[in-house]
Amino acid sequence: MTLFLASARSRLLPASVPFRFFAIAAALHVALWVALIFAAGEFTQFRGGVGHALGAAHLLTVGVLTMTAVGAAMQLLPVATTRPLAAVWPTKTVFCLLAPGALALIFGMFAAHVGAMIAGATACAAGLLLFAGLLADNLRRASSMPLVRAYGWAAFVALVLLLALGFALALDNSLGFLADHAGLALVHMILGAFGFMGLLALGLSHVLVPMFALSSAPKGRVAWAGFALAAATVAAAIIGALLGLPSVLAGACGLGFAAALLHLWLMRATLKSGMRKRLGLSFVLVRVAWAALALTPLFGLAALAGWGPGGTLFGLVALGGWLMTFLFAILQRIAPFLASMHVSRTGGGPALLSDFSAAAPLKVHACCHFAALAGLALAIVLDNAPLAALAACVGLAGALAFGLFLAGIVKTLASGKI
Amino acid sequence: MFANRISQTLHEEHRATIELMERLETMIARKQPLEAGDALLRDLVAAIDNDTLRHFDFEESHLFPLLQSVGDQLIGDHLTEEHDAMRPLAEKLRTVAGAAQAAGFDAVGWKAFQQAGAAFVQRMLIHVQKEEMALLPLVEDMMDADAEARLHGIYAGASAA
Repeated sequence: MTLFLASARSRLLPASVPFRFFAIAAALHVALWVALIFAAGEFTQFRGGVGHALGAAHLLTVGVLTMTAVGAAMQLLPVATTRPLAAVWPTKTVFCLLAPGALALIFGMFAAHVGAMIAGATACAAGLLLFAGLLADNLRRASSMPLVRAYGWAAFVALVLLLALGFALALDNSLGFLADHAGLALVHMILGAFGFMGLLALGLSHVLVPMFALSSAPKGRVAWAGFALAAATVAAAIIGALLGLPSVLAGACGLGFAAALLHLWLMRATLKSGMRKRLGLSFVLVRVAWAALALTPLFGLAALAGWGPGGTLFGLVALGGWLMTFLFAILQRIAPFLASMHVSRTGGGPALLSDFSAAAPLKVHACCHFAALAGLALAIVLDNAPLAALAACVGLAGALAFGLFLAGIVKTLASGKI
Repeated sequence: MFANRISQTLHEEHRATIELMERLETMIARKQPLEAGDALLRDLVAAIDNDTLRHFDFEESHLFPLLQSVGDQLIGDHLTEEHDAMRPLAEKLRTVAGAAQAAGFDAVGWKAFQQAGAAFVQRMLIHVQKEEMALLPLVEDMMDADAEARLHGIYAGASAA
């Protein structure tokens, strides 16, 4: 933060860099709900396999979650580690590979077009490997915040494994060389949701939550125990999925539940000691995301116990309830803040956050987001496709509202003045 | 929280400021104007008169030049720019709140209070956030004992004046 401030505006990434990731994530967020309307029939019983539901899942994971996380991490990591990025062009290159790659991959999944899937997976893997390199370079040069760096390194390892496995799975659709495609697809999901995205979200929470609440970051043995539990959860889940051992997977769920509770305890203590008590709508989303984080391993256990809808609910609660809710909560806080650093007022002085963020679209988004997730969960339990389609329509309304919010910021940024 | 007395004093003032800003944020969202005798008006006027401007002046006169002398000029420039944007708002709020304490709010006065209050709250929250995350740790790291004793004496004297 010191470097971030000391260098004032001059060393911030150009606004167009993080916002191009955010803009395409917002557009693909709209596409996600449209896709779910059409994939509602498959979605309620989705357990993997190429098709509309897999395409929708990757619209969420690659299109929305990864795109947002890469854009945010490229701007926030230099702030957290107080080490600026060496250059801007590699981040632009990540976007140039990741955005078309994601589109090709998702198209390939929807259309069952193996060539598009392999081409998309190749471009995504190249873009994300470059991102992993940038992440590693920044973490290597950092000396502060060892706990955040530990989460960052663990997320880096998970990302590299995720990419290798994702590429192999895409190729396997054509070559059929993997002995257990479904088992490795589960490992791929674990690495993506809990390894890369999950550990990155937990690590950045140790920077962002104290920053928003004006509090000290969690420190000491308990905070490190939280990291150890989270990392052990991912490792145990991968081993369990690779070996096909339900008992190890159940153990991973137990570890994950403990890790989630410890994380929530640390975050609660952070909020309690914070100066800022009124944290607004974004922290309503954060709290719901935390509740979903704690519920995720319980749905995992339910799936392992053989409860029919458990597996699909596990994916919905982890990807939609926890990660998507958390990322949109953070994005609605950081997007106006970043924009305010790049725009000046016509009358002089720094811009106000309210110059960028209208409250109404965010309220609409939050209401629709919660209603859509609840509707999808109910549709899965009841195996009711029309209800899933209706919930997706509500989600679409929320996504359009969030898109409107972000478009307003981008429009103001483009003009450069308020 | 901070071993350095300057950082700790500024931190405690930030805590009090945030508490006041959250009260102001809650009140300006109301349609109904505050009563002339509302404690918020009294506390706001007192804080602006006795704390806010003194806090800004101390940082600009003593703290930022010290940072500049060890090569950290940009942080002071950035925070001074934010002070410059907040001073007129503080003065406007103080004037409107002071008048309302005497005669209550009319519709125009309440609107002016809400607008100035909303802008002041936003600027102050972000400003405190930056000082808490950047300035105070920097002061804690770089300030030697002599400078700490000297500046603490100056700030304590300014507080007592």
